[in-house]
Amino acid sequence: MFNPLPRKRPPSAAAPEDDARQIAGESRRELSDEALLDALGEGFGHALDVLFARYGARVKTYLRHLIGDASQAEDLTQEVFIAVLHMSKSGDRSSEFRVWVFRVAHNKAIDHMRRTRSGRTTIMGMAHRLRSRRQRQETHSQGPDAELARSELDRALEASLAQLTDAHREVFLLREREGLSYDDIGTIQGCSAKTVSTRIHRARLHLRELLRPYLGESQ
Amino acid sequence: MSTRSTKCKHVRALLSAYIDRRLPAAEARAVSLHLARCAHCADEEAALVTLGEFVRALPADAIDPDTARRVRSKATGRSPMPRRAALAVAAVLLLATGAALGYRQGKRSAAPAARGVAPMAVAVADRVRFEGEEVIGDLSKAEQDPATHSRLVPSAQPDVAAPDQRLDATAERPRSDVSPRAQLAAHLPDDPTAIRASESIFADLELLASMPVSLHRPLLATQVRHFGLERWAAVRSDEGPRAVRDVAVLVQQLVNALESDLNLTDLGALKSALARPGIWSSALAAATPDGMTRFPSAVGVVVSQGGGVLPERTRDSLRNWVRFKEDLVQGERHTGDMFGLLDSIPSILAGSTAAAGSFALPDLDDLFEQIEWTVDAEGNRRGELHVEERTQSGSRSISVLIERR
Repeated sequence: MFNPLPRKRPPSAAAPEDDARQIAGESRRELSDEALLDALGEGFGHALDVLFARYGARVKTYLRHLIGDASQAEDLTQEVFIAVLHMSKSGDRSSEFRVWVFRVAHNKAIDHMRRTRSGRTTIMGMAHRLRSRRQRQETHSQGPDAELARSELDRALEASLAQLTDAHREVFLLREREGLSYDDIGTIQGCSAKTVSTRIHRARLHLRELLRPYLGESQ
Repeated sequence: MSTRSTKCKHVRALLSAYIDRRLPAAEARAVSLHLARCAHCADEEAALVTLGEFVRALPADAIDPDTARRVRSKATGRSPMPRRAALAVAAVLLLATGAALGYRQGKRSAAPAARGVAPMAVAVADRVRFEGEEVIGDLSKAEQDPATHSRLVPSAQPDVAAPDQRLDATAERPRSDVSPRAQLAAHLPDDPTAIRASESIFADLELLASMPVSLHRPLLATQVRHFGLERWAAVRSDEGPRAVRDVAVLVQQLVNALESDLNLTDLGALKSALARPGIWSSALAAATPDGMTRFPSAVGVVVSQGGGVLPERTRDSLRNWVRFKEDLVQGERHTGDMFGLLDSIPSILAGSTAAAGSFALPDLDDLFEQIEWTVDAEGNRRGELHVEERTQSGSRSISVLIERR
């Protein structure tokens, strides 16, 4: 009934890998993020592939931890990389790319949470907030991500992370998973390095308590 | 004991900064010395270090590979505009083709649901449709009367008596700037028709750009679905006008191109084909030989979107609908169960205006505002819309009843 025309790859369209090689020579993985961003700004679209390969899953994981919804995290990740596209063309390079990309992700998460948690009608808002929190905990503790392959420790860790405050969870992940400095985290969160230090300390202590069975007792 | 406990407490307060090498050298040395002597604090430090190792060992989330492809496709051009523009072109084409075909079919069979301009409203609405809601509508005594249409579209009267002249009147545009609009035009053939088409594309591009990116593909898919299947098949297989078939083929090519990895050259060539002079007017003329004079608002909107400038009022109305729908999606202002009701309004009204061809979008906004919503004891929502129609021969009432079944 419906006969779409055959999909044909244009002969002039090079495979992504070819383009990427063209961008980066034989050592595409060795290019810095900033060099890739420059290439992207100059029209080498597949530079985004490389940046996405480096940061896509990390940004999504970070966002999923923040908002507690894997599907939304994926959508927001896409928005983050759209922003990368725009940024590559605007030439606004106020900070290191890896800091910038998480700052954009942070802002997307904040916007998202404001939208989903803005309970102007208080009862509806509270209900939504409660539902979100429950959903996040379920996602972390028994959701589809928590599959057989994931160890008990991983599940416990995910569940414990979900119990931290948003700011503490974020600061802990940025420090421990992404290896960002206090100053960089402060840039992302819009606070001082001193505040970051306090938050990391509290996040660690809280997690330490929650995961005591896995980390051993101490006096 | 007390001294040791105080010392331990002090060291533990510094452990996080110590692990992250944030302590001044002297303080770090003091902590190191303490850890070498105090097994408990050393255990605590080890636990915190292990905590970091645990979280670093957590697997990263899998990410849909299609996400990478979608984002990458936006990077294949020199700017992200072309893909959006292509989507806009697809939307415009789908609208125009659907309108032409809808009119043609409606004319043949007087089917209860003429398509006309309605598909755009439905297409915009469909992207956020709720599942499982069914809506009925009853519009009495309004069939077959163009006066109904004129009542429903009292002021949507684009100047379409001479569409080509109308387009000519909008031909003036700067070409020396480097605005996105100019960039878009740069990818089109260097002829006035194409440049005017780019104006229209740009207007639609703005509309698409105002939507969340995540909705672009579903929107396109919805439109294809909406216009797809039987009506497409009918045009492709029967004696449908050649010009309409041409548009249909181009739309399909565009959709295919959007599904694949598209580069700028291909997109430019495709857009050149779409901007071919006369393609719109010939398609419409073939499908609706007398449409332009009999049903000015329906055809006028189509013509203006196909080859000229989108009327400001229609554009604003579309934007409002998009915002309204987004608000619904986000649960900000409205309750979800209005979705199905909203979606049904275009088809209800289209059903009432089969002979007239269509109604214009701005009136949907006005009409929606007039719906009186009530909720019964069981929580069922019900809407009533009463329209007083004035015609040359008098006036009459039209009622629309909207409820969940």
